[in-house]
Amino acid sequence: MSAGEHFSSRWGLVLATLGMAVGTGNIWRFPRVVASNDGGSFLIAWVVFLLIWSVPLMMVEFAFGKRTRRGCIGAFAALAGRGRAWMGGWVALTATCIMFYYSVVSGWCLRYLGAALTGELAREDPAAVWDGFAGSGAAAVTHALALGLAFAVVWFGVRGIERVARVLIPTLAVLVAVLAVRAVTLPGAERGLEFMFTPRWETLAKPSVWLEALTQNAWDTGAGWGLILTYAIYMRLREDVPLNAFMIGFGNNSMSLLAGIMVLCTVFAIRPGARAEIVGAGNEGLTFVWMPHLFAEMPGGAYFMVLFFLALSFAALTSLISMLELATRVLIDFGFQRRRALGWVGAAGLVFGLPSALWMPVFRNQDWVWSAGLALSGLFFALAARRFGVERLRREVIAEGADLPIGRWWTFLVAVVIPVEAVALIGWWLWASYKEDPSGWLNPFGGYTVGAVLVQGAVALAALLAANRWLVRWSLSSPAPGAANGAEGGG
Amino acid sequence: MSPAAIVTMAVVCGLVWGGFVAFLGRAVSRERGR
Repeated sequence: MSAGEHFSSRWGLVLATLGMAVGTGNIWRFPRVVASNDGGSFLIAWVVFLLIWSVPLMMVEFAFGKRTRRGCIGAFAALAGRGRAWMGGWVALTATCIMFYYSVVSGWCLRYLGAALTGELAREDPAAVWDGFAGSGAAAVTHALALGLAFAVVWFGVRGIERVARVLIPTLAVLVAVLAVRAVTLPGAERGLEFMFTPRWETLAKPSVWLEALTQNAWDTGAGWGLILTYAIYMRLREDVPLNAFMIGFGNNSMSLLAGIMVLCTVFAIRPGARAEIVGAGNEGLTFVWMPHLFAEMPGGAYFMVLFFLALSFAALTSLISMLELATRVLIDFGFQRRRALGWVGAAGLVFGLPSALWMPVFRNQDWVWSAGLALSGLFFALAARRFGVERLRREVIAEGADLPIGRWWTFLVAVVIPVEAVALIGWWLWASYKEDPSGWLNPFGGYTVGAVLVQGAVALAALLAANRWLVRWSLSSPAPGAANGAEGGG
Repeated sequence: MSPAAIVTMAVVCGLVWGGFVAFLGRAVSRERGR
């Protein structure tokens, strides 16, 4: 690590990490999931899982990065033992495979920002625009454009990431706040607030609502993805862990709440009768078909549509940047120079993202497979922390220089509660998939089946296990400047 | 809006936004103290 490879201040680290956490999942997934799970009851469960999944796991990631100063594979090998490098490999592979298609999503956002700016979305039927664009050659071009923008930022290393985050994240917060204020001042918006916040106590007894709340926290805070670990490599030695984790977790969910208010108030104010149809349209249908429709019917909607897609583009790009940096950092640990490593990652992203850009079934399959893989990533972090010693991690890394004292409750959450949550999430997902399609759920060619996840996941895991020895050798081959003493954990 | 919705909104928004502002304020004061 060169002398310049660290965030210049706490705010640089926090803004970059918030940029990683706040992505399209906050803006297009959260409002849809709130609406599909009875609003207020879901929100209560969602706040609970922020505290017992996201924030504790963020602290684990910060601790891994700060302690080892290595990317995912090296950090797992150094802390959990050399026999566990494959677990870090899984975390890195999952985030990288998500990066391949996430740049496609980022490209969609840029395309729609352009269409909003030129007035194309106001003139033409948004459904026709989407149908003509998704899965076309134009989507491949915007995929390359989004990847190129993220590449240009990561090219300048941590300072580049920090400089961009310092501009984009405060701007994103202002944009989402402006859109939310506009939405709640629309006539009839109170129906959206009423729907979003009315608790239905009987719903709280449904396990599916709690599991959806856990899933939303797992996917939209970025906890357990390995991205926070990657940014934590560049935190200053005396940097605090707990307060930063709380700030980022609560900051991310604050943005989700604003996005939920923005989308649901807009829907209820403009098309209250079409709520079920809009919510049921899925992430892309809600964002790229319905939102332009709704903005077109809103006074001054053309301007707010630009702000909406600008916010979405900023959210997508700052998350894409962190995914690019994660894979780059793994290659740097393997001995590559930063720009050469980034070149390989960028080329891989361009090539492996193309099928998702050109064929929507491939995009949906990859989203299905690697989103499911994230539950395993979170579990691996908790298991690796157990292997090193959760209480030891708390005393030696998290409590050191902490601005917020963290007690043994955190040890209990990481050692016991998070593994139970991850196993419950995986078990529920298997059960729900079986119930939905008892005859075809194990079909490996089904697109959105458990079989598709198991086959691709098993191939990846088998390759990582077979390559474990080389992963250890490559990722620990060079000393990690700035690593705390005694980073090596179990054998 | 029903009283239950108002209470839930106050609790959820208060916890999430209030929590964020409180943690941010604490971080600002810590940084000023350094």
